[in-house]
Amino acid sequence: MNASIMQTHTVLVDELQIRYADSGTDGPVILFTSPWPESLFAFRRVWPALARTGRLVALDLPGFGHSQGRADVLTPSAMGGFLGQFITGLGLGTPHLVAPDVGASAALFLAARSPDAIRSLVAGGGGVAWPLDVTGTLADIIAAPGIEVFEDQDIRATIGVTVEPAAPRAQEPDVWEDYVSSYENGRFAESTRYVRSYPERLRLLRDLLPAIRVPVHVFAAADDPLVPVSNGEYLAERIPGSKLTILPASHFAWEEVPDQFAALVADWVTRAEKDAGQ
Amino acid sequence: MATSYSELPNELVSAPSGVGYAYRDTGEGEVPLVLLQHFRGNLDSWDPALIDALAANRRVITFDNTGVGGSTGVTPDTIGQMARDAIAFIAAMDLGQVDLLGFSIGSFVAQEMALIRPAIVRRVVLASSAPQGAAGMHGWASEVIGAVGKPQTSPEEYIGVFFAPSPSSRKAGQESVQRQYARTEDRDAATTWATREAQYDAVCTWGIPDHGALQRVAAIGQPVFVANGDSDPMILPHYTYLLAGLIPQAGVKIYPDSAHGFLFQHHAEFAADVEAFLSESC
Repeated sequence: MNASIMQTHTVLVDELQIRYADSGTDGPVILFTSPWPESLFAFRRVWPALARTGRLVALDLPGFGHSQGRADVLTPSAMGGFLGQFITGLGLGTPHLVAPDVGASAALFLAARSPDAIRSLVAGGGGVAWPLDVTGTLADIIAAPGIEVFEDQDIRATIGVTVEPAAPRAQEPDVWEDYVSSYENGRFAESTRYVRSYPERLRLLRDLLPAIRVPVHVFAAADDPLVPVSNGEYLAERIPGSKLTILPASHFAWEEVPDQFAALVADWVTRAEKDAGQ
Repeated sequence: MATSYSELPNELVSAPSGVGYAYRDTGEGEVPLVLLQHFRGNLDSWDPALIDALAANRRVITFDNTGVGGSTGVTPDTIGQMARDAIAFIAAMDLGQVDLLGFSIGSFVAQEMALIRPAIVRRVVLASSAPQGAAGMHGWASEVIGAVGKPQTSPEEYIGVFFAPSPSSRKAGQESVQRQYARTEDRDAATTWATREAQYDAVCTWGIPDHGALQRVAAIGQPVFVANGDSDPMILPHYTYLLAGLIPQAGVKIYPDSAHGFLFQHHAEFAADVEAFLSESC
């Protein structure tokens, strides 16, 4: 597998250069948000299968992947607003949104504030619970005194090791390089602003969850060392009518168990379309 | 030294509608801060300690909305009309763009103003607030309306709702009441029973559970500061988080050991927080 199956383009949204991919295939629009510290190529393994279900669009969130960032967009709350602008800007109508990892909290803010912006949501694998319920490196990043401590890191080493299991350098050098180069030149330190706003912003998200009326399918990775399954349970308990699926993965479910991840999305979207058509 | 709020003259401005609005005007600055009062409150119901602290750095204007206290007209029974009336006051005063500080029912009006006429609103402070349609907001709890909704409300009943049960908060409540009543001459006219009825109708209507209405405040594009006391029995602090979550650009702060009137109890801290918020650059 290599990155060439996803053709990328650039678009200006909210004065930011945003990289995205568009399958151009027929069917309902399914919009994917990039996980951290990866990029939109995280979906390369589910892309071919899901292209039969709809038109796939994936974006690098601002400040992540190879999209331009800006400090004020780097909170779940502001990122939710940005997603709304991206959907409008690209004329995507009312897409199904698939938001793993950092995108999950942003997508939930969007769903709560602008229920007419998306048709349905698949979200999980990102910190969402308040009080904060994250572990390992993610907890350390949030607890660090400032973002300066991340500025001197050897990104090729630290991010390289982190993404190696999901995109082995020897087998998928272009994907590995895309991930690592996404966070070079100070971009990793800047990107930490997002998760570092969790303590304040996830407190706000908690009270919004019971008001969400968009259909939500929550997923969680069973052995996630960063975002415990309890985050998924937290969402399922609070979002009316939501569904929870636990995937046999450690964090990067979209790459570790791509067939199951693709099936989850395809079934969900197909069912949501059928429900909407009735 | 500038004149204290408790010594300011009552002034009157007429809108094209024919309503005469009672107001007080203090401090100096480019963008005025217009204050929107709580349920049954009039010009004298603002704690002078808070107004004086806010007016140290900016122009601050308090007023009675249509039909309230010293203003003429009939108090409307919807938040929407109250917002239109407040916009009419701002136009009559020729204030241009303003900052808003809405307290309780006044914070509902402030939200509505930011939605109806965004061009005249620069920044918004919402004290003891909630979004329209939030579940559980359909009228105040019985002990609250029992205390502050009667024809005559005692200072003890006011303190019971506006301040927390702790000795420190109750003491702060007594001090605030003393400051509010320090003015003996030229006090504002008391609010009438008709105002109470209309305002409470508006509160109940605002609080009719409506899931869809929650998304309205997502359209507020201005920076907003949402705040409350941690023990407010009138509008639970939970709604502060809900509201701040729904508004795209909102900061939130909950003040300790305080209730509905946290802004009077923590007048110095709150005024400093408001000042910092209003003077942020972008």
